[in-house]
Amino acid sequence: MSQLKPVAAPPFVPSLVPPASEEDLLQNLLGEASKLLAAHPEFTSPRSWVDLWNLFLHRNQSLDLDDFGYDEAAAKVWHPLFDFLYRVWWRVTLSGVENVPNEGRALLVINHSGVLPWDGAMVKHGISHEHPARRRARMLALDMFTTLPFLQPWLRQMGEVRACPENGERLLLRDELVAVFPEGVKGVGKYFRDRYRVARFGRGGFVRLALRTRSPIIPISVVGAEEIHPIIFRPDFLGRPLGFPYFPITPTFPLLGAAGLIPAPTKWWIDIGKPIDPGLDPDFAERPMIVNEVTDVVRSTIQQMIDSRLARRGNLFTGE
Amino acid sequence: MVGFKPAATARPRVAVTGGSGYLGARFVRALAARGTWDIVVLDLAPAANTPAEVRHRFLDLNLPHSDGTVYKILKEERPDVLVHLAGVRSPLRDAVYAHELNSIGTLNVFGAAGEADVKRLIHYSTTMVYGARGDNPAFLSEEHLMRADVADHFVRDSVEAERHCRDFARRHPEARVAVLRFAPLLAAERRDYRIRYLEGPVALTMLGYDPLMQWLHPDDASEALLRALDTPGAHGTFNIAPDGVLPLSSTLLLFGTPSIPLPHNVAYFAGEAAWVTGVGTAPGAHAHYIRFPCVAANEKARKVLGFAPRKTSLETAIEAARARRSSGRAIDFDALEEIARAAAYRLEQRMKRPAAPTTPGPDGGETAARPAGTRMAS
Repeated sequence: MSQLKPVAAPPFVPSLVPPASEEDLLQNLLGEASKLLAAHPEFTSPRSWVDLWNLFLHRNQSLDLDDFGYDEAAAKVWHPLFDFLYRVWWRVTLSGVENVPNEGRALLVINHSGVLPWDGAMVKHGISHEHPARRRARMLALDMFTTLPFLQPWLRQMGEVRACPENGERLLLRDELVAVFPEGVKGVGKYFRDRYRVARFGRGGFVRLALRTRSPIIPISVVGAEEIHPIIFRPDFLGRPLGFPYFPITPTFPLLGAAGLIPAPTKWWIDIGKPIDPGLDPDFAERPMIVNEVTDVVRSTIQQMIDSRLARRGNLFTGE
Repeated sequence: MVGFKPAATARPRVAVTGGSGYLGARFVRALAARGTWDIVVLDLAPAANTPAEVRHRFLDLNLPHSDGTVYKILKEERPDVLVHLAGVRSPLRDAVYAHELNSIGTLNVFGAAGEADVKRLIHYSTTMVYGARGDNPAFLSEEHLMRADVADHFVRDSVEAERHCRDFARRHPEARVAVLRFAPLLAAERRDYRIRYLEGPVALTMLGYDPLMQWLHPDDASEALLRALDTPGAHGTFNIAPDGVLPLSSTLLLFGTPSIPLPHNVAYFAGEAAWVTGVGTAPGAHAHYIRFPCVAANEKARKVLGFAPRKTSLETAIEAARARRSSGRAIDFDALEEIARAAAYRLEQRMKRPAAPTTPGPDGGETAARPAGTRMAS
């Protein structure tokens, strides 16, 4: 009989599960995606997800701004909207674009109307599209627009600047086209019954600007924009607490809510007049009576341009 | 000391208060490298790696009778120029301490300088004294009023310091006083409140607002101080600002910080609450600077001091962000630097375009180039 040989007891080993390496765990959980993460370890950091989110928010913006903050890439995004409004919604007819110089400074003076400053946007769009030099005018926007949330960064990206003499002078000295609305709030928020009556032109600040920088003044009239939001009533007690300079009551707003902000599709005419060159020395900017006189000449020129266009205008929506 | 006379070829002497601080040390090193000035630093302690030839004198502007100390030092050293850089550059929760140092400290230094008959002074200030306001022009020039919010004690101290400086200039009309208003400095190695804000972990922003910021490179700041020192007639206020602007949102993008946008009427309270609880980096009233722009024009410093900033705001921000973020990022900083270089070039081209109103010739040389228009009689 053969004796069974005693078997040596195996040495004691604690029964630990060997730890899976991190790669194996990722491989099991993510499959192919794990290879991508292995190749790009930076994406496992939470900060890089923040980066991706921030980049998403910046998808339409560039870092290459001019010194006023104009962002060409961001402005381009809105181009289709303005093109639609210009060609389809308001069917703008632009005349006298040859009066805008191919280069060099000029001050565009425009009558203001229509509650929201669509008129400025259309003048700018028209000049940049129909002028052979594709000149891009820069608007001097009212404080009420440049300090409002959301509007402030948006206007800055579009290349508009706050209306103040320092900004206008800086732009004109750099030989840019600068557009102003001397009527200001009085123009943009005027009652429907006052339509096409050009309001007082501020205190002649734009004339002082033109004299100091020796810029020609180009009068521009916009016809058709007065009817897009006819203001029937303008209760200040509603506007003040909201921080708006006025609270317009129109046939559609606030009755239809946000839909009431859709402007009426009237037919528009933008007429660009001959440049007015006061031909005065910059010292005349300090003589209020002379400044006033030049202001009056520009105002009456624009009023005449409006009147002659109104006389030829037929139907409000078709223009015939 | 009796009978000691400086050699005829003695170098001009400059005393720098706060010469061991971040900007001060940088400035002192750059100045010592030139070897043309005899430098005395008045500070609590000498900075690390201060050049050997730079002398240090102890000065604590928070001690009582500090003006006497300054007077004694100035009498002994007899500097030709006094550069006053001492002060805290981040808001402190101990507002009294900050006030004593920034405002009263300046008052004492200037008072002593007047008694010690110092003929030239250079004072450090900030462009924040203009205040961030919705009705600021795109570029604030030196003539603009100081309209900072008085509730913001950090900036208010700077405004008061400038007033003391102005009083000094009024009392000593023969003295040349240059006030340099520096745009916000941004440097990776300087852990001031701006870096702490920009690094997060989250940054409070104003819903619907994205102001333009200027970021000044420390080398440019130090260069500006050297330029001011080199200009014997430098008198008055000068903005020391970089070219180009960068929106706040883009700065946060570079630093990889998520923003928490709050409506502005809530954000001031939230900012103040964060400040008093120790989470925030600046008092609530300081939040104007993340709502409205406060951008300074640098033309005067360019013209009078010959100051030419070498880095744009975008380049400075990229440099700082790149150094702060070592790993774990989804942003390609090499590509960004390319973009910044190209943008700086385009900015330079834009600024080169005709500026300054041209004076017309006798026959209206300039008007002839413009389209003929109707001439109006006055």
